[in-house]
Amino acid sequence: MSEVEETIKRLSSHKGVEGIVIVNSEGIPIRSTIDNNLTIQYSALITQLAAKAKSVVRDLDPQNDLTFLRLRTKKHEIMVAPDKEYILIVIQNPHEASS
Amino acid sequence: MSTRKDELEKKRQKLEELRKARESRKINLENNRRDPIAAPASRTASSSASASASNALAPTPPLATSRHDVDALVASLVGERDSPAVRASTPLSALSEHDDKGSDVGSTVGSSVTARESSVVSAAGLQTPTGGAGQQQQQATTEKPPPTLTVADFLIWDLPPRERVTYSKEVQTNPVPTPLAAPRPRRASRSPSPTPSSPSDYADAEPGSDAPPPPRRTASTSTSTVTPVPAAPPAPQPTPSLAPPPTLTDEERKALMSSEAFVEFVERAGKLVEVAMARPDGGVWDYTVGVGEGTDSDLTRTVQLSVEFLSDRVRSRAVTALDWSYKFPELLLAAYSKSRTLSTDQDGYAAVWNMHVPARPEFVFQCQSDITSAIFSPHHPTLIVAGTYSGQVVLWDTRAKSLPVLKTPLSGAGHTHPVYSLAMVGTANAHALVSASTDGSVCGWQLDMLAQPTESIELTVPSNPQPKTDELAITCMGFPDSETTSFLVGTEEGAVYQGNRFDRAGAKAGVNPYDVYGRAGDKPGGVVRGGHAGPVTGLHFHPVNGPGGGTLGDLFLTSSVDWTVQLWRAKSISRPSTHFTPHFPVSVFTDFSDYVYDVRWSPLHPAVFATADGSGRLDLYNLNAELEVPVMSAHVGQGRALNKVDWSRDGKSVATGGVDGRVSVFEVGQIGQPESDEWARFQKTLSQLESAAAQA
Repeated sequence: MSEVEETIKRLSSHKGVEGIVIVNSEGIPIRSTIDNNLTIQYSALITQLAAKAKSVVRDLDPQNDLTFLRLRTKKHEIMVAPDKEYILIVIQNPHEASS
Repeated sequence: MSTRKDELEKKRQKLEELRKARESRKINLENNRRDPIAAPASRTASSSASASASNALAPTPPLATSRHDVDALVASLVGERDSPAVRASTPLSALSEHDDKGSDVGSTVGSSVTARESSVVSAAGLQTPTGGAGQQQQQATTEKPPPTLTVADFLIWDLPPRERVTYSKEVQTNPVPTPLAAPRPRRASRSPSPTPSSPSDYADAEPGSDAPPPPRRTASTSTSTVTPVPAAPPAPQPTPSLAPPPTLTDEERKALMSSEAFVEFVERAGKLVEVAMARPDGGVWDYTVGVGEGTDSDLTRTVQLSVEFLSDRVRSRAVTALDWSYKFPELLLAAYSKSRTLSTDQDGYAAVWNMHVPARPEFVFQCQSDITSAIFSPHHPTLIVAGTYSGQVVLWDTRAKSLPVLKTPLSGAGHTHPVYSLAMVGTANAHALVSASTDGSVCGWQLDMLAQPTESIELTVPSNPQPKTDELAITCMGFPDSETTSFLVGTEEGAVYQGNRFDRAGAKAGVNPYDVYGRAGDKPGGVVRGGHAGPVTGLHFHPVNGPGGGTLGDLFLTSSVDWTVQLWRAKSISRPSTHFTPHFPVSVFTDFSDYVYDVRWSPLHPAVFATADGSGRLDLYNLNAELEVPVMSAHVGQGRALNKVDWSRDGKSVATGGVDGRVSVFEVGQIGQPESDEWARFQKTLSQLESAAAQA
C-alpha cells in the first residue's frame, strides 16, 4: 500500500504534473489526486479511448499490443499506461515541465 | 405302555386333523377367490369337506391366494359400515377358539384358521374383519365393483425452466461519448439493457421507440458499458453530465490497493510514465503556442554535471564499480560496498540507474557479501556479473528478482579472496569470464556454469624480495584489445606483470616473471624514472577504435596511490624476455595531490583520458593538447573521494562514483570530441614522449 502511495507521490512531484488517476478495467477509479467529477470523466473517457486504441493496434497486428498512449493537447499532455487489469493516467502540463 | 400308545395315537390324530385343516383351508381360499358371494356356502361346504377328510387339493399359488384375499378384504372395507366392535370381537373369538388346540372341530379350526389367515394377510395395516364379518359386508356391498389399486412407482424429473432468449433490437455499436443535454435522464432509465459492444454497422435502427438522437442512447449505453457486471446496475441519476460509474466501497478499495498485482502494476506503469515524462520527444508542432525558450546550448569547455544518482539506501555505502550498459546507453550500473550504518539491506548492493530518472534506480540487486567489482555482460544485455569481497562471483539477471541467479561456490575451486578484477573476453559465441583476486589466483569461467571454473591459475613471482609470499596480490587487471589469453595485472607492490591464461608458444601459463613494468623493489629516495611506489589502483588498455589505431593497442595507463598516473607501452606478448627486464613508462603524470583511484581512456578521443582521485577531483587529460596537466578539472560533490570513473559508450559522458555513494554523470562537451586529425596527432605525441623517455 505504501509503495503505491510513494510511487504516486513521486509521480505527482514531477514538474507540471496536474493529476494522477488509476482506473481498473471496468472504469472504476481506484485512486485519484484530482477532484471527483474530473476523475469520473477521465476514467470513463480514457478507458474507452484506451480500449479503442488497443483494439486498433491489435487489429493491425494481432501479435502487437498497446504499451503506452500519449495525448498531447493544447493545454495538457495525458499519458496513459494501460495494463491487463488497470490503467494509469497522468495529466501533465508539458510547458511547465520542459521549462 | 398303554398310555404311551394312547398318547401316540392322540398325536397322530392331531397331526391328521391339522393336515386336514390345512387342506380345508386351502380349498376355502380357492373357493373364496373364485366366488366371493358363494364364500360362506363354499366355506361351510369346504369345511365340511375338509372335516370328512377330503383329498388334498393342489395348492394354489400363494400370491394369487393372497391377492384374492386382499381384494376381498378391501372390498369388505370399502363397503363396510359396521362398527369395529364386531370386527374386534371376532378375531378375539377366533383366537380364543384357536387357542384351544384340544378341539377337534374341523369347522371351528378351519374358520379360526381362516380368520387367522385373514388377519395375517391383512398385516399390511388394514383393520380387517374376520371372515364372517367380511362376508356380511361383502354381501351388503356387492353392487360396487372393487377398485383395483396398484402400487405405482414415480420417477420425478427436475426440469429447469426453459430459457427464453430475447433480443432487443437496438444499435450495437461502440458508443461515442458526447456530453449529454440536460433533460434526458428519464428516457435513459427506460432504455434497453446493455448489449455487448461489438463492431457492427450502424445500420440497425430501433423500431418502436422514437428515433432517438444518438447522444441519448450513447450516453445510456456508455453508462451501461461502464457498469460492472457483478454490482447491480446503478439507477442513472438525473445529472446533466455522465452518470457516475459505481464506486468501490472503502474496504474493497483498500483490499484492491494492497493486492500484489496492483502494486506491481503501479510500479511498472509509474516507471513508464516517468521515462515518458522525462523525454518530451514528441516535440511541439505549433511554435506559435507559448513554449518556454530553450536553453542556448553552451559550447563550454568544461564538463557539466548532468545528473546525479544518490538514494537513501546507498548513502552510507561507497561506490566500488561503475559500468555502462552495452545495449541501453542510458543505463548505468553502480556497485556499492558494505553499508557503514546498520542497514536492513544485505551487504552486497548494486543498482542500475536510468539516466532519465534520477530519483530511483531502475533495478536493484543484492547479494550476501559486498561487491568489489561489477560489469555488464557485453554479449547478454540482461546479465550483470559481479565479484565480491568473499571471493564469490555472482550473476544477476535484470529479468529476475534482486538475488543472484547464479553464484560460484565458496570453495577452493573458485576464489577465496576479494575479486577486484573482472573481465569478459572473447566474442559473442565464444566468451569467457576472467576474474582475478588478491591472492593471485586468476580463474576463467563460463557464464552458464559458475559452479566450477574452466581454468584456474595462481600467479606467483618467485625471487621477489619485497613481499613475504610469492603470490601476487592483484588489484587490477587489463586485457589488451582483442586479446583473450594474455593480460596484465597490477599488484599491491606497484609492479605490473604480464600473464597468460593458457600455455602458448613461447609462453607458459601464469605470470611472466621477467617482464616487469615498474620496479620490483623498493628504491630509496630520489626521483624515480617510472614504476609505481604503491598499489596500482587502475589499469586500462587503450581502446583502439579509430584510424591508425593498430599501434595503440599496447598502450595502457595505470593509476596508483603514489599520486601518479603512468602511461606505458606493453611489450609484445609473444616474445617474453628470458631474464629480468624492467620496463619503464612512456610518461608519468604527477599533477595530483591525492591518491588516484581510477583512470580510463575515452572511447571516442584517442588522446583523452579521465582520472578520479581522492580529493573528489575529476580530471580530463588531452595528450594532444597538454602533456602534463589536465585540460579540465572538476570537483565532484563535497570533496569526498572518488572511487571510480567510467566513460559512457558514446564517449560523451563521464560517470564518477564516490565513497559517499554518490554517482555523478558529467557531460563532456567539446573536450571529448575528437577532430579528424586527432589520431595522427596522437601518434606524433607518442613518439615525442617515447623519445623523451628513452633519453632520460
